[in-house]
Amino acid sequence: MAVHILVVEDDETIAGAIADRLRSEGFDVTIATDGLVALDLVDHLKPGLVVLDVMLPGLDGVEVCRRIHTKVPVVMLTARDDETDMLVGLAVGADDYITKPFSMRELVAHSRRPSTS
Amino acid sequence: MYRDNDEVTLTPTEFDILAARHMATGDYTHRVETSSVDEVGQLAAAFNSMAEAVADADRQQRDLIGNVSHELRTPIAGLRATLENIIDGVTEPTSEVLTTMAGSVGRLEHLVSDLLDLSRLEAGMAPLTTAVVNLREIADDAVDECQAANPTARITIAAPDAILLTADPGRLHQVLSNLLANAIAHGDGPIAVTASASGTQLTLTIADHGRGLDGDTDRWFERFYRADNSSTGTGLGLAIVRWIVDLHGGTVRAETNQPTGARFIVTLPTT
Repeated sequence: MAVHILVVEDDETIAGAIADRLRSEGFDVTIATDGLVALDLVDHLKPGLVVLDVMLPGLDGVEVCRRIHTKVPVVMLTARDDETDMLVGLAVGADDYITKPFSMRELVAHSRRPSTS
Repeated sequence: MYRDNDEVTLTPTEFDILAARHMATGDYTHRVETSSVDEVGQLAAAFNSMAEAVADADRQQRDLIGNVSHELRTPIAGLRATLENIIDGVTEPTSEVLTTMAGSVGRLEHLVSDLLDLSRLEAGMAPLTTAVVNLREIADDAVDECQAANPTARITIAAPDAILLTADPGRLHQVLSNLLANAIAHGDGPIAVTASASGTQLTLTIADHGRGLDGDTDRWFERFYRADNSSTGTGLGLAIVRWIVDLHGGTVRAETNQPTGARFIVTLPTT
């Protein structure tokens, strides 16, 4: 059964490109563009992985990560590569951290961690 | 005697040299502690004030670079992701996909243009070319352009046929365009543009019925300030508005529009 990945990203272009790539790699993908919606989807869809942007409407990615990291592995996806931002992401429970602009192959590799493959 | 942050006891001269060396390397944290009221004590106090001001400017500069970096990386990330998908055969380069990519390039172009414009304005390198102009005509042009770019927008304008003032017509048009773009970005309700003159001052108001304002309305005019993380503009439009209005000797402020939305009020001298 295909692993379900929830992509939480408010930029439609990035979200669409990630979804296309992950689907081509055999994952089921759902997109959320809002932090609060993402919280609901984590409970309802029970995804195997969440790819999570930091700057989001509704509820920012750091807070979303804080609330979901015990339920599901989280890969934080952000345009900020400041060390402080990375440490904050990891401190709130992110399993991994990718900085935009990122390679799609890199993202797929992160998505194939043991917990999701 | 004077002490630096490391509690080393120094003579005034030694302190001056040490502090200057720290400042020269970009370390603005050093302060001098002194209870002396003599000239050297006053010099130490002045140094501390200067160090705080420089540290604050440095922090703002770092924040700006961080924000610029974020705003540039987002469309680049979208372009790179889409291009890699096309190269790897994941995505077909359809007209729709290419149009979206062209939109991302346009967003980058707009951001760079706004950054350069704001930089010139702040550096005083964008002199106004003033003439006696009719605000009503400029407002009509700006509304027509905005309406053409956003066909579903509902924009009304209420102003006398002639409101004359001495201003830079291009910059005044930019003020209106940026305020209209901001209103469009924050809601889909009707937008009302009104203008009136009283004595030697005119007032221009742009009211929308969008999501409204939160917190300190002055912060809306800061570079890259995001009220709700969902704004679609460059984050520089209102900062540019404030600079242009300032250069004209006017004022701009934002307030809540009842029952919902925001109202931006610009005042400008007529001469």
